[in-house]
Amino acid sequence: MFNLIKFEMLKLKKMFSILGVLFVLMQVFIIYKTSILTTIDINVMGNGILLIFISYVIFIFSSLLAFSKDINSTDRSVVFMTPYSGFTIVSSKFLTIIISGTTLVLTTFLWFIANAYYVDPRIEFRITEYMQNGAFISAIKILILSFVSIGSFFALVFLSIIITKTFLSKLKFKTLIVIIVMSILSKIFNLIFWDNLSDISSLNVGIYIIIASITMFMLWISGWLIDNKTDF
Amino acid sequence: MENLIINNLTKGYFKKKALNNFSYSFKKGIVYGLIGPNGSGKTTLMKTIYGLVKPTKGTLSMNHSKISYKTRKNIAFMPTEDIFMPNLMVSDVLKFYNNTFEDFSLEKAHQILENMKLPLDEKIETFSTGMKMRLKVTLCLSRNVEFYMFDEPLNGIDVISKDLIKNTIISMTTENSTIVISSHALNEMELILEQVLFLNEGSLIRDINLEEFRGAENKSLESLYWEVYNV
Repeated sequence: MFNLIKFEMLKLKKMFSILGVLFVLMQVFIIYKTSILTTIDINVMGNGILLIFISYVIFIFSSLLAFSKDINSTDRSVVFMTPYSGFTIVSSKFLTIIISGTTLVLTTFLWFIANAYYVDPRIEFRITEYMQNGAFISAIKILILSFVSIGSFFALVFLSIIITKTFLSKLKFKTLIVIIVMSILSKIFNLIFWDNLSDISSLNVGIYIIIASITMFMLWISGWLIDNKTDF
Repeated sequence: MENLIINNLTKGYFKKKALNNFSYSFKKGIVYGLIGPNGSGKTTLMKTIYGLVKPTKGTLSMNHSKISYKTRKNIAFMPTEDIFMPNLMVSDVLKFYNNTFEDFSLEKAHQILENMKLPLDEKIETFSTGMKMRLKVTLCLSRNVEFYMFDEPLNGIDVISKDLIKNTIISMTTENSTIVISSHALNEMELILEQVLFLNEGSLIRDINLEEFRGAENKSLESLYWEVYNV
């Protein structure tokens, strides 16, 4: 699987190069703005936050678009010609997104902190204080929940794209049907998990395990469909 | 000795049948030609053998193992489509194949690439149709398997590329391997092929041993084609 992940990473080279150039330009802008200002203005970082948001949107859309192209277009299908199972192929694509997405989030987070210090050196991050009043623990819980939820979102979209290619390939309005199916599934997901969460303290390991198991199940079905029902 | 056995293979796309009750046993050491007009089922047959297209009915087995992603370890397939992303370098593709297929020989690949006059450090997007085709043939022949399939390897390419591909395929032929080639270039393929399967509307309509045919009738493969399809 490591071989497939390495190969999938090659596909992301172009997107990460574009994002890299955008961040370099933003860095030049921040340095320039800070050098001409006579007083400290942390609002300069507002543009940085916007760029981080845009980079996340670009990442999510291009990852899903790349998966859809891989599945639907015959001229990118080299991984489907390998002796790996459908589950291994889908999982490698999924893990590539998780690894590169986590790298993107961590990099942009560190970039933001470093620039916030650069713009206003008086800023202090009082981690010990956060840990004392429990806010830090809550933040970690929310972070893990966001992580597994985003993972399940990607697995759901993967499954929907493969269903479109498999059972709905000859139907009209197949994209519309998939969007409806996805909306219903995500509504059920919300009813089971999000709507039952009264507060952050009710989040526990069990919820993470259930969401992760559902994600694995969706990846397994996707792999099974590739092996048994999908024509390339 | 038979290595690939196909029984009553049918592939349907709603009302249309791309393959219709196709049965055949492929033997080791023979170069087969799949001949037929467009839409006769040649590509679907090859893709089904490789496990890319799933049969509606019937069975396929390679050395007694049911065809699946696992049997791709014993089959090398060159499709007509460009299967690589254009921004990849030839070296990236070779590395990927080397890490994916246990039987892939990097040394052999470099040797064939040299014979095929292909650069190692160039992106695929800069390649012409003929160069892409030569790269696909190289990747296929750099594997050490007992079953090779080439789908239209001489399609839409220049005379030099055709010659390079043809000669490389001939030089790699061994008595332990089965080679299946689909092509419309009948004159060019005539000297390579030993057994020719004529397909029409997904069915096998004629199965001819070319050597015996040449001994019995003094006709070219092209004239046989005209005769078989009554045109």
